Amino acid sequence: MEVDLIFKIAGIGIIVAVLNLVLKRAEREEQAMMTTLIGLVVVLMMVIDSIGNLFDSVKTVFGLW
Amino acid sequence: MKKIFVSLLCILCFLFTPFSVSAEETADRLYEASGAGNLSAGEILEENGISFSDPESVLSLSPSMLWDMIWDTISGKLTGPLTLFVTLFAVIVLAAVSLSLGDTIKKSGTTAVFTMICTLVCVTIISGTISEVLSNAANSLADGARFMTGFVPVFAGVAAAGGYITSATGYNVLVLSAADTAIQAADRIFMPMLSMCMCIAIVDAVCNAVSLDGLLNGIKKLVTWGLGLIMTIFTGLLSIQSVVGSSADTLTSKTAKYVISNCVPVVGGAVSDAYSTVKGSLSLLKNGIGGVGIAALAIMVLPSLVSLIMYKLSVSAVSIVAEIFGTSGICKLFKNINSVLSAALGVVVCFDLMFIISTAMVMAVCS
Amino acid sequence: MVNIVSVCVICICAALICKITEKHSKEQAVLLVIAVSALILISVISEISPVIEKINYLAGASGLDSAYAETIFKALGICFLTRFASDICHDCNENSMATAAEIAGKLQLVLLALPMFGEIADMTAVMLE
Repeated sequence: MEVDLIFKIAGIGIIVAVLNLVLKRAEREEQAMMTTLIGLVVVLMMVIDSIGNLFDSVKTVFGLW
Repeated sequence: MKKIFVSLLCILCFLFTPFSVSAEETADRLYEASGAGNLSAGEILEENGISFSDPESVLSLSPSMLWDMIWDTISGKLTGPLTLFVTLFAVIVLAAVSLSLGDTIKKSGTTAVFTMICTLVCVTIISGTISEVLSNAANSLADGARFMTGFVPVFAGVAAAGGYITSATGYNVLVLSAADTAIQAADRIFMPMLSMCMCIAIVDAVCNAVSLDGLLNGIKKLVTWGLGLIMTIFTGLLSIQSVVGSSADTLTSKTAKYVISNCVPVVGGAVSDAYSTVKGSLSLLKNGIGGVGIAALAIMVLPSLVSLIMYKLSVSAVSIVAEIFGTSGICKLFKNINSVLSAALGVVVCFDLMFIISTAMVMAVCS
Repeated sequence: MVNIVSVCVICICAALICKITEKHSKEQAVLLVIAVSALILISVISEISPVIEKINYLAGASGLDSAYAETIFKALGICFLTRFASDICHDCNENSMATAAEIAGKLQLVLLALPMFGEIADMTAVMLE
């Protein structure tokens, strides 16, 4: 199982949350929003890969299409 | 002189002209024309030592021979129900595994549709086989009834010739009408009703919103109750007629013997004894014919009965398995099909027992 | 080989991390949820294939038409995917999208079952003749 991916995503999530908090306290709202967005995009790219894998394996195992 | 010579010449002519003995030829021609030699029941009977031309051979029938015959039929019919059972077992296992995999904490809407799909698969597999079994049952009922329409006049004729006129007439009328009713009912009432019940069972299982269990059970109870009533009335009427008729016939024959022995001048006693002998031999003939007839009817009906029972067993086993695995919709389908098969079995067994019991009763009472 | 212990541990840890990140960025929490469930399902589904092969073998040996077993498996797959998608939508608090996914799944199942309806209708017509 690709536990590393999960740790990476969890790590990125925590980092983004902390950065968000810090930047909001430092009253840099736009930069906070930018970090959130970038973090979102990065994690999304990682997740989409695994979702694609999931759908492919379901299609193969259950014989759909 | 001339007269004596002419009469001697005539007698010599008669003595030297061969007359063909026609009784045996007629019997052979009748045997071939009736097609009795081609009956499959005849082959089974011959294998077990009972032949149509020797009614006394029924005495050689023993329980072990009977059991062997039944066991052969069962083992011949085993493959169909077993295949059905194994196929349906595979589908149920599939459905149960899939349902338990696809249904986690809350029941989602897709589970219901999925259950319906599994039920549809079971219905598609089972319908063809079961409708074939049901039509075989209806055909065997009609065949048995047709056999009785041929058998009853012969049997009644022999009984009447043996002096049991009243009982023979009653038997003839009642059983012939019952046989006719059975033939008509098998085609017009029995098969359509069973097909309708099968369709109701399928609809009930596939469509969760409608619950037609009660209707099916009601129909089955009605059929059972009606059959019980018909059988009781028929057997009661026939037994009363036979008993009363046989007393009347015994009285008639005793009167005839008394009249013969006292009124015929020289040979009265001998003729009366000869009458008793002829009556006894005709009674033996009647009983032998009755025995062969019952055996033939039983054998004609046995294959479809056995197949009905085997399929019923198979469907019950499958419904138990479905219940164990928790697929309640599929279990309901099989329970309903079981009811339909029970109704069919009940009708076939009832009519055949009616015929067999009536023949046995006439054989027992009139001797 | 999926260890059930590792699956449970990962689920619990991910749930806790989600709780923490939720306050500051909900999207990360949801993405984490999606990632974890996708990965667990991938590893589990590859374990199902021996089961499915065994059932296929049982069905074939008993004379069951392979079309039926295929139909049931496809239906099962559709159920899986629909459940996954609709649950994720529920997690994002998007109930309408979840319902839409469920309806689409049910429709797809019915489309799958359509040939069987036709067969049964034919058989019923023959029986009622």
